Amino acid sequence: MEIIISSNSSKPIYEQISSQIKAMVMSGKLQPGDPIPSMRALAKIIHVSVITVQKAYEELQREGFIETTVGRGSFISAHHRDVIQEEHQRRMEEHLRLAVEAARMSGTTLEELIRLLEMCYKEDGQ
Amino acid sequence: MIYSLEVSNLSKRYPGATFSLDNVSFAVPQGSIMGFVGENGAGKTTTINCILNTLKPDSGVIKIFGEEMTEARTDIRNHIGVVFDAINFPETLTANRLASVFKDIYHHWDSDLFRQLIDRLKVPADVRIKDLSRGMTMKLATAAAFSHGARLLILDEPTSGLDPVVREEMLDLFLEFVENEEHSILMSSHITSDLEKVADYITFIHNGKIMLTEEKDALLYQYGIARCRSEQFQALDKSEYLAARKRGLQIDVLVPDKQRFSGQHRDITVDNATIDEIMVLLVKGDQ
Amino acid sequence: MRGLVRNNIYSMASNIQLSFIIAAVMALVPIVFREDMLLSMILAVQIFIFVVNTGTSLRVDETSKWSKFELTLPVRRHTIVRAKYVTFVLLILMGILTSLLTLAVCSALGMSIDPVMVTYSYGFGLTLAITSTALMYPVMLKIGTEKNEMIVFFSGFAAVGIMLLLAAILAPFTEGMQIRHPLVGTVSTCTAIVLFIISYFVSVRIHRKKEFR
Repeated sequence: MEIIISSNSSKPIYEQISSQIKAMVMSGKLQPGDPIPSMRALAKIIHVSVITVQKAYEELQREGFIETTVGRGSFISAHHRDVIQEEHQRRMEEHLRLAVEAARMSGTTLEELIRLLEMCYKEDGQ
Repeated sequence: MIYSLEVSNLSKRYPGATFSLDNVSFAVPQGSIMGFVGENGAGKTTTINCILNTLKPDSGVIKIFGEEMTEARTDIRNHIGVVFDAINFPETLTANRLASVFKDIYHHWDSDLFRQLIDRLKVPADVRIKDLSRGMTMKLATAAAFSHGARLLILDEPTSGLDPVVREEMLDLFLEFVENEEHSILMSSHITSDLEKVADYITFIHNGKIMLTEEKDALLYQYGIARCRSEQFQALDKSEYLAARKRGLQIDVLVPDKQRFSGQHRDITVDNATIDEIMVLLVKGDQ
Repeated sequence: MRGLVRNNIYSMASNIQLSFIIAAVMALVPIVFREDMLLSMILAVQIFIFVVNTGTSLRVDETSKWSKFELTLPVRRHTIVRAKYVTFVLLILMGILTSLLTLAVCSALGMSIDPVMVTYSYGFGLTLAITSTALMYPVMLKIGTEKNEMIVFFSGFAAVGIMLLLAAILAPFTEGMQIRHPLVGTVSTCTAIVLFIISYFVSVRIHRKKEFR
């Protein structure tokens, strides 16, 4: 598990940690059941304060990405499928809204936008 | 919340001096690292001395691991590791001799751990302390503080005067120490960048008074410094900010909730705060 | 406490070595010159030599802030003081040992040893060493170690003064004031030991109230 911390980013470090772990789960790099370092161990490895990692883990736990059991440590949650779907959905919506806004500003019609979407979908991958 | 260290209403006045500790209160939660910040002469060392009983406070209660710390409680001191801003140890001793001394004094001296730490920090074991550089001496003192079953470390400027490479090594050690959630650290430091990296909480002291105790992440991401013109500043309500200071042509204002403030004052720029700027504002600002 | 005594000895180690060397050199004097008077003086001073350096040690403890760090150890304050006094006793024993060796060597070399002279030497030497230590430590605790050489000097002076005083007091019993009288030697040494014990309790009190920055 690789986590990159940028100290100059305006994004709080705990957010950087949680969003990177989320990204790894969604891309499949981290599978359900995979163990992740304990809060304190991770804090030590990436040189940040414990509370910062704690915040990140709390958020991940709340959103169903990880599970922590006393004595056994933290693992990627087995039943996060719905959560991941939701997260993907949320992202799609976010990006689509940006696209819509750009379309409106440039005077593109809905049909043209849909055609653009079809092109992109068929281009990357399949 | 369990606290490793609780300081309540600590006061001390040196006779004939204007300086005093005035009702100093703060607590270090178990499992955390608390940075203790203040300008020179603010009272950091005096507070630490009172906590460790090398100075007698005029009033106040100090509790360590939930128990009141008195001279007689040698059992508690077995679990407190200390590094002062000094050489700390007799100069003619070597690391090895120091270890043999501590073995007879501390109940839980861990020779193997000490040896490992010395090796890891590259402190020569048979060189007299007076022939070691300051960085080496601090590393030695830190190794000793870690090696006797301490659950609370009290460090007075443990990284000052050290080069960045050594500082990084020390910070790593501190983080390792709190990997055990029963361990805590109180460290006073000028080097706010170190604290910004590893501290969970920051306590600010100025002129013998505690100005603020807060989570470090809150200070860095929630607090903000608003840059105001005079009329904008006049329009603010006192409850909206903690401190303000005129600097050049603007007034810097410390606000505890950057988001909310921005929402209510869209015309005012609010920057992210750094520990340094917060400290300067608290020290120099009117409250 | 054992650890503290060990620490005290370690930190004074080079001073102790130096004292042994000086004492050995001093031992050569009566051996070379075969002078009884000299032997008597040397025996006494050999004991004193070992405690002379304590002032410097205490000074170094203060500048390195070891005396402050000690307070964070799991020991009582009076144990710290007790360890110091135990160390002083050890130092004095080292002095006695050295002088006994010197005595043995001189005797083996065929020098005539006058028992009265020997008793006097030890009486004087012990009184000097024990009294000056008893005076020096509490004074340094109270006013600090900056003027440690002066304090050692004056303590030595005071020790001699006490002996003279006792000699004067005992004059009626010794047919006039006689420093070399065995009675004076014995009484002085006992007085010194009593002062040493009183000094310990005084030091504990001073240390208990002392603040260390």
